[in-house]
Amino acid sequence: MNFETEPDVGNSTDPLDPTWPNLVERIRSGDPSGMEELYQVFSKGIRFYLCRQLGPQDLDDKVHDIFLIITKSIQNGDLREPERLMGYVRTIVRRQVAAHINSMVQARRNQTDLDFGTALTDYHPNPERRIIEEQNLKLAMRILSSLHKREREVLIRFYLQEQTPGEICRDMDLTETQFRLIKSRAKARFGELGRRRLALRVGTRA
Amino acid sequence: MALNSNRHMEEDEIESYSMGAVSEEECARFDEHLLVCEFCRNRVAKSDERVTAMQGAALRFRGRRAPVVTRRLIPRLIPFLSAAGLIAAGWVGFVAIGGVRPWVRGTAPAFAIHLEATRGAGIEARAPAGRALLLNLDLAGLPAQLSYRVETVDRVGKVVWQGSVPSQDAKAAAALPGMPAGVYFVRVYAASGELLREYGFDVQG
Repeated sequence: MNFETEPDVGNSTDPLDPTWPNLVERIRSGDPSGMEELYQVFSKGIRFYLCRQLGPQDLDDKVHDIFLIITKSIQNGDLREPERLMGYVRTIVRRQVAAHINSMVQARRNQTDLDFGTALTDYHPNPERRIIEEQNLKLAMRILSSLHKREREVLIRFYLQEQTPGEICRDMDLTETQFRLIKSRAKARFGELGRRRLALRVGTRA
Repeated sequence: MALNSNRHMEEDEIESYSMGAVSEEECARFDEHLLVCEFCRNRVAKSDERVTAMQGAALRFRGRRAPVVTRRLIPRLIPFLSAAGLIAAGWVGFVAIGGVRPWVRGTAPAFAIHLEATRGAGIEARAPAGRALLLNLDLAGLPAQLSYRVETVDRVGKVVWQGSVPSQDAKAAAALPGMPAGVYFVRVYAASGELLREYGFDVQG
């Protein structure tokens, strides 16, 4: 069931994994091994999703709360198609994210109404993360600066104006291959500069 | 065709997911896959970093080319905006005491609206029709990002404007063209495409 160590795109697991119903059955019957497996399989993924949507604050608590909701819900028999466990977990996580945003909005509005001032969770990245982001930005600036004006325009249209490859090719009279080449070169350059930066950091530490 | 949640994501799919440019159906499949696949999670995390950096860098380049409101430009504009505000106030006073009739709409400076209200609240923000707008968005409480995708829709959900806006200190500004009278909603999206917040404002004729 866990294909985390399976990087081969071609050898994918059957979407209707026969072990999902088995896992769901064990959770329903209160078998601790079922709950343990559920946590092992989904906790990192839930964490990842929450972090992307809500930021890094209080992640452990949020993951724990969601895990409890999922477990209780399965035990109550709310999951009618056990083979759709992944979709079910995703739905619950999405609802929790929406509920969290709503509660934040409500709290902020109430605090503003009562003139308590705003006491919001700090969603800003930690100092190390901030430095990495600044370095990434510099790398990207370096890449864009090094490009020919027309190639730079392609990337700006794609990343900033969010034009589709088709629109960009049409407006700039490019073939799809030319477009892909410009983008993949920039991507490769970003990866290469990032690796160099990492090697430099490791070398400095050593 | 049924989408298989258990196959790894392709490179293009990873980038589209990072940019929030996937359909609802694809998004569901990718979300489900990412719940259980660390290999693809790592690839998405790297892609998120690269896309964010490229968007930030592209914003700066665009700022150099065209006079758009960017985080660098806002501080520079403050003296000019202050002066414009004083002139406008003086003009309003002049008109109020019966000086002359105001000029035709459309040549006036952008009308600034500060949006704090979110969905569920009554729509308090108001703006005149046909006048360029400067929307000041309060993004406090949202995950910090270099930029957000902003979409403005009319009462029936038709998109009237969209674009990326840079953010700084939980605030962002979006410059919109003049719009006909009606109720509009401004939606702020994360890079992943998730709707984070919605504001409403009323354009009055």
